[in-house]
Amino acid sequence: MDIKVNPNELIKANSLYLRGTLEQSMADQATGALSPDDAQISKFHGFYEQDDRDQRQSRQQQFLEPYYSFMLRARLPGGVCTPQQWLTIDAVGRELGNGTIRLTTRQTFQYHGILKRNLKPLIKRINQAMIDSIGGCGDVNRNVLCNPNPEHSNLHKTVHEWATRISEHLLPKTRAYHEIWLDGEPVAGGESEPLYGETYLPRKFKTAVAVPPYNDVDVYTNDLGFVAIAEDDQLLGFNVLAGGGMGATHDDSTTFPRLADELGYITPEQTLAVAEAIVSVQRDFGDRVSRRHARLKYTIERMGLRTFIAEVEQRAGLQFEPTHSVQFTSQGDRYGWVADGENRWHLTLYIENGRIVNTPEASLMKGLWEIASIHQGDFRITPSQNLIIANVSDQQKQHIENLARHHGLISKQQTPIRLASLACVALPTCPQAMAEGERYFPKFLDRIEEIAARYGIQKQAIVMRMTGCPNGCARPYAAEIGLIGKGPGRYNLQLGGDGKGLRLNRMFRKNLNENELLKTLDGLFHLYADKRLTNEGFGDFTVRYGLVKPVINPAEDYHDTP
Amino acid sequence: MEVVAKTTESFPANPLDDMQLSGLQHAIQSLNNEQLVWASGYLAGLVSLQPNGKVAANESTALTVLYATQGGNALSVAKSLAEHAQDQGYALRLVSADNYRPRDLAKEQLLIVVISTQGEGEPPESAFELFKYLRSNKSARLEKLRYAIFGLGDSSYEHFCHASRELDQLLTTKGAETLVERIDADVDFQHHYTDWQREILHSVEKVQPLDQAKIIPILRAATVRHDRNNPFQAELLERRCITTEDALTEVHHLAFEIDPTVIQYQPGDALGLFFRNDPTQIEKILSHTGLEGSTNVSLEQHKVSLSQALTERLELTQLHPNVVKSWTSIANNSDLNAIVKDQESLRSFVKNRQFIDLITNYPADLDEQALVNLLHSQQPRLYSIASSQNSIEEEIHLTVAALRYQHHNPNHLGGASGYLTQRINEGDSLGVYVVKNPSFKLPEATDTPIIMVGAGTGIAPYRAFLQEREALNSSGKNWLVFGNRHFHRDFLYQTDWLNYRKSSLLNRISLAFSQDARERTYVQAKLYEERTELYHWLQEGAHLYVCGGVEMEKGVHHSLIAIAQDQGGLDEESAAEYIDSLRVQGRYQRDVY
Ligand code: SRM
Ligand SMILES: Cc1cc2nc3c(=O)[nH]c(=O)nc-3n(C[C@H](O)[C@H](O)[C@H](O)COP(=O)(O)OP(=O)(O)OC[C@H]3O[C@@H](n4cnc5c(N)ncnc54)[C@H](O)[C@@H]3O)c2cc1C
Ligand SMILES: Cc1cc2nc3c(=O)[nH]c(=O)nc-3n(C[C@H](O)[C@H](O)[C@H](O)COP(=O)(O)O)c2cc1C
Ligand code: SF4
Repeated sequence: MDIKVNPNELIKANSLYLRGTLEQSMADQATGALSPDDAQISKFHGFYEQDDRDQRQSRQQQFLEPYYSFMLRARLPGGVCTPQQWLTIDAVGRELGNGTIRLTTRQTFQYHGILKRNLKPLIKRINQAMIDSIGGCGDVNRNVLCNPNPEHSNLHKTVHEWATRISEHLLPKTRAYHEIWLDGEPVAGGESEPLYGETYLPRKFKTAVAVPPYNDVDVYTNDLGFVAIAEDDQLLGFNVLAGGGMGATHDDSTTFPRLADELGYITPEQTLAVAEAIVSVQRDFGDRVSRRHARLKYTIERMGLRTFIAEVEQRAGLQFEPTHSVQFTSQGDRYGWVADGENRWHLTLYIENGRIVNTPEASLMKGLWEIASIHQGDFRITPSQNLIIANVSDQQKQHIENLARHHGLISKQQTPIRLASLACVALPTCPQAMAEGERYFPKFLDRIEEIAARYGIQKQAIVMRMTGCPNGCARPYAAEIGLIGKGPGRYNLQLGGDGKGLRLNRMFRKNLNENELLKTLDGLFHLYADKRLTNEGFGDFTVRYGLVKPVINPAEDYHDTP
Repeated sequence: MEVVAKTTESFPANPLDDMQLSGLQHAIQSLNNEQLVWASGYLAGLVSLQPNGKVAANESTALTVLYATQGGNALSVAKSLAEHAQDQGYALRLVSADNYRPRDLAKEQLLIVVISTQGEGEPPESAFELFKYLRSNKSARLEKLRYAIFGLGDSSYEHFCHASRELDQLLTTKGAETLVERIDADVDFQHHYTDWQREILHSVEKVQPLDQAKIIPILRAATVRHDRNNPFQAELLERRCITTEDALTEVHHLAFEIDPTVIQYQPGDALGLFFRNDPTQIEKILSHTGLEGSTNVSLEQHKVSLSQALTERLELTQLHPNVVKSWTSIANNSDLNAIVKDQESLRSFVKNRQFIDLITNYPADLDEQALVNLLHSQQPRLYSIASSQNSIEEEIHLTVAALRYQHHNPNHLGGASGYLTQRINEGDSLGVYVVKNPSFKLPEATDTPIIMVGAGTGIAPYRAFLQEREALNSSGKNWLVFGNRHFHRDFLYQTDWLNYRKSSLLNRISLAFSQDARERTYVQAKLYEERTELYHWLQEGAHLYVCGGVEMEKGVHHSLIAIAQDQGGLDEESAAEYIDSLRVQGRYQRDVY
C-alpha cells in the first residue's frame, strides 16, 4: 500500500534537526525569501516567510519578486514579561521590525515586516533579553496559555510557574536555534530529540492552563488543557482536557472545530508526565499523511476517547481521577484597575486588535515605553490581545494611570461589544487570508454599535470574533457571533456560542457581503431585543429561539444546516 | 536598385573565381532589392562576426579608411568618404580599428582616420589596441605614411576631441606626414565633412594616380539599411516602470516592434533614437520669445512649422556652448558675455542648463527663422539593447532611466529619457537605428564563461546576453555582478535573474545595494570581496564585461588591478599590464556612458 506521507514530513526528516539550509538561505542576497523547504523549517525557529499582499500585483509588473519579509513570534509562556524585557521588545520592534508590536491571541507578541538581513540581529537581541522564539510556530508545542488572573496573585504565580514548566518541558532539544542565531558551538556528535524524534509532531500542538471561573484562555479550544482546581489560592490539581481546536476548511466536512474532552483529574506533580504522554500519543498516532487532519482532535476522533485515555494513562503511568466540577462564567478580559487583596494593583488595557503602534490619534507604543521605564511589577499579555500592567504599587498607581491616559492607552469608554470582540491579523501579511481581519474589523464594529444602540442593547456584552479565513486564529467558532472570511469582503455568519467558550457556534448564513451582514445582524439584534429573557446572552438566545441548533458533537453535527 | 547594378557591373575586379562568381550570381538572381540588401547585410555580418579575424593590409590597396566609433557617427562619415572614393574608382578598404592590425601601419601609404572621443577624452573601445601600440616606444617608424584625421567630439566636454588630437600627435612623432589638416568636428559634424571629403579626394588624387582595377564591391553591399540618416519607424508595444514609487531613480522597460528583415542586432549593440521634445517646454519657449509656433521656417531645405521644428528636429535639452555663443551675440547681456569669454565657465554654464534656462534668464529678440538657425539639430540618444533577437525576433527592449535634476529650474527632465519614461504612449512610433558595438560582444565560443558587471541601467545588455545564451543554449558559465541603490526598489529585472538562476543558466549573482546598509557598498567593492572567485574565473578564460556610468567603470578598473595584484602576486604595473592584455585579447570589454 503506498500512501504518501506529507511532503512536510520529509522536509523535517531531512532537516538535520531543524537546521535545513537556513544558513545558505540567509546568505542568499538575490532574494528576500528563503528556499521553500527552509520556509517550513523556519517556523520551528519562530518565524514565517510572508509577503506584502497589497504589493504583489504591482511588483510582478515591475519584474520584482514579491515584497518578502518575515513575521516572528516569540515564546512567552502565560504572556508574562518584565518592564526591562518590554523595553527591548519595544526597541526591537521599532528598529528591526515594521514599527509595530502585535499582541496575539496566544499571549505573546509578533513582529511583522522583518527583512531577511534583520532576522539574526533581531533574534539575538530578544534572546539577550531572555526571550526566545523556539517553537513560536511549527509542529511542536506552541506558546502555553495561562490565565493572567489579576485577582489572585498568589494562585496566578503558582499556576503560571506550571505553565512555564510545561512550556520548557515540551521544548525541542535541538541546538539548531543556538547554532544558527546565537552563534552557539555546533554540537559535537549526533543530536537527539528524545520526545519529538526527528520528524517532530504531525502538526502544531497547543496547551492552555485555565483558572475558573474565568475562561479567558478558551481552554476548550486547545489540544491540551489544564483547568486549575484551587482552594483559597492554593493549587490542588488540574482537570485535564484534550482534543480542542478551531481550524477547519471551507466546504470540507471532514474538517471541523472541536472543543476538548475531559480526561480526568490529576495532582500538580503529575502534570509534566501527562503532558508528555499526550504529546507522545499524538506523535505516534497523529495523521502524517494529511496535514488537514493531523491535529490531535482528529487523532482522538479516530482512536476513540476511551482508547486514547487508556493509552495516555499507560504512557504516563497513572490513572486519571474523576474530573472535579468547575464553573466557567466568562470568556475575555475584565478591564481597568483591580486590586488583589495583597494591596497590589493591576490595570488591564484594551489594545485594539493587539496592535501596538504610534498613530496621530494615540501613541500606544511610546506610552507603554514610558510606563515600562518606571514600572516595577510585570506585564501580562492576555489571550484577547490585551495588556495588563500587573503588580503596581499604591504609590505608582496614579502616575501609571496618567501616562496611560496621556498616550491614549485608556481612551473613551469602549462599548461592551467592542471590548468583548476579537479579530485576527489577516491582510496584508497573512498568506492564508481570504478577507480582511484587523484592518477592517474596527470600522465594522462602528456599524454594529449603531445597530446595537438602535435596539437598546448597547450595554450587552456580545462575544463577536472575525477571522479572514476558516483557520480560526481569533477562535471565532467559540464566539457568540463568528465572522469567517470567505472571499474579498465576504464572510460566513456563525451563531450560537454561549459567551463562555463552552459551546461552539454554527454557520447561520454563508458568504455575506457587508450590507447583507449588517442587514442580517440588524434583524437578529431587533429580535433579540424583543424576545430575550432576562440576563439571557445573545448566543444562548439564538439557540433557545431556534435560530441555530446547538453543536453537540461537531464530528457528527457541525456541518448540519442551522 | 542602384546598389545591385554597381555590385554586378563591378564584378570583374572581384576576388572570386568564375565558378564562385556564377554560383553567387545564380544564388542571388531570384532575389528582389529588399532581399539583396538583406543578403548583403548578412554577408557583411558574416565578416564582422570575426572580431579577431583581422583583415591583413593589402599592399595593392591605395588607401585605407580606418574608423573608430562608439555611436556610429564616425562610421557614417568614414563610409560616406569611402563610397565617394570608390565612385571615383579608388581601391580602398574600410576597416574598423578593432579589425586592424596596428603593425600594418608600417605597410600603409595613405591612411584616413575617422575617430570620435569617448569617456573622458579617451578613444573609443575599438581603438584601444591601436593607441596602446602607438603610445609604446616599441612601435615602428612610419616614414612611408601620409595620413588625414577627421575627429568627432563635443565641445561641451572638457577634453574636446582629445582622441583625434592625440592620434595626430602620435602619428607625427612616428614620422608620418599629414596629408590634410586634422578636423576636430563638433556635434554638428555633418556640416563639416562634405568639404573635407572633397579636400581629401583632391589631395589623394595628387599623390595616388587612379587605378580602376581595384574596386572592392562588397563595401557597397555592406551598407546598413537604416542608420542615423535613415531611421526605422518603430512602434512602442509596451512601457512599464520597473522601479517602485520610492525608488531614487525611475527606470522604465520599453518594448518596440521592429521588422527583423530590415533591422538586425546582436547582444551588446545599442539603439539610436530620435525623440519628441516636451510640449510644455515648447510652450514656454514660444511665450518667452513671443514667437508664433505656426510660422513656417526652413530647416535643411524643408519647410516646417516652428513648433514642429522645435518638437522633432532641434536640440533643446542638451545646451551646447555654440548655442550659448550665438545667443549671447543677440542678447548682449554683460554677464553672458563674460561667461562665453571663458571656455571653462562656459562649459560649467551649459553643464546643467537647458535652452529654456538660457532664454528665460537672458532674454533676446529674434525671429522664428533666426531661432531655428541658432539651435543645433537634435542629437539622437543611444540605449543599450536589453533583448536578444534570437529569443524575441520582432522586438527591441530598452531599459531607460528618467534623468531628472534640479538646477536653475526645478525638475529638469532629460529630453529622450523624459520622452521615453513620461510622454510616449504605447502605439506611438519613433525613428530608431541599430548602433553596432563590435567591442561589446559575447565570446564566439559558447562555452566561454562570462562575468557581467553593471550598475543601474548598465545591466541592460546583460539581459540580452543571457537571453541569447539561453536561446543558443550556450554551455558557458554566467556570473552577474549588479549594483544599484535599494534591493527592494531598483533591483532591475530581478525576476528574470531569479528565473535564470533557477534554470541554472545564471551560475552566480553578486549584488551591491549602496543605500541599504549603513556603510555603502558598490560593485567594485563587491568584486574585490569575491576576488578569489573572480580571478579563478579569469584564469579559466572568462570574458569580463563592464557596462554603466563612467564613475563606476573607473572604480571597477581600479579594483580589477588591485585584484590582479592580490591574487596574481603582481606589482601594480604588471597588474595593470595584465588587465590591459585582457582588453587587447577582447576578454575585458566595456560599454561606458
Ligand atoms: C497572530 C495570530 C492571530 C492573532 O490575531 O492574534 C495568528 C496568526 C496566524 N495563524 Fe493562527 N494565529 C493565532 C492564533 C491561532 C489560534 C487561536 C489559539 O491558538 O488560541 C488558532 C485556532 C486554534 C487552533 O489552532 O485550532 C489558530 C489557527 C491557525 C491555523 C489552523 C490550524 C488548524 O488546525 O487548522 C493556521 C493554519 C495552519 O496551521 O496551517 C494558522 C496560521 C496562522 C498564520 C501563521 C498564517 C500562516 O499559516 O502563515 C497567521 C499569521 C498572520 C500574521 O501575519 O501574523 N493559525 N491560530 C495568533 C497567534 C497565536 C500565537 O501567538 O501563537
Ligand atoms: C552607448 C550608450 C548606451 C547607453 N545605454 C543607456 C541605457 O541602456 N539606459 C539609459 O537609461 N541610458 C543609456 N545611455 C544614456 C542615454 O543615451 C542618455 O544619455 C540619457 O538617457 C540622457 O539622455 P536625455 O536625452 O534624457 O538627457 P539630455 O536631454 O541629453 O540631458 C542630458 C544633459 O543634462 C545635464 N545633466 C545630466 N545629468 C545631470 C545632473 N545630475 N545634474 C545636472 N545636470 C545634468 C547635462 O548637461 C547633460 O548634457 C547610454 C548612452 C550611451 C552612449
Ligand atoms: C559617453 C560619452 C563620452 C564622451 N566624451 C567626450 C569627450 O570627452 N570629448 C569629446 O570631445 N566628445 C565626447 N563625446 C562626444 C562624442 O565624441 C560625439 O558624440 C561623437 O559624435 C560620437 O561619435 P561616434 O558615434 O562615432 O562615437 C562623448 C560622447 C559620449 C556618448
Ligand atoms: S484566521 Fe486565517 S486570515 Fe486570520 S490570521 Fe489566521 S490564518 Fe490568517
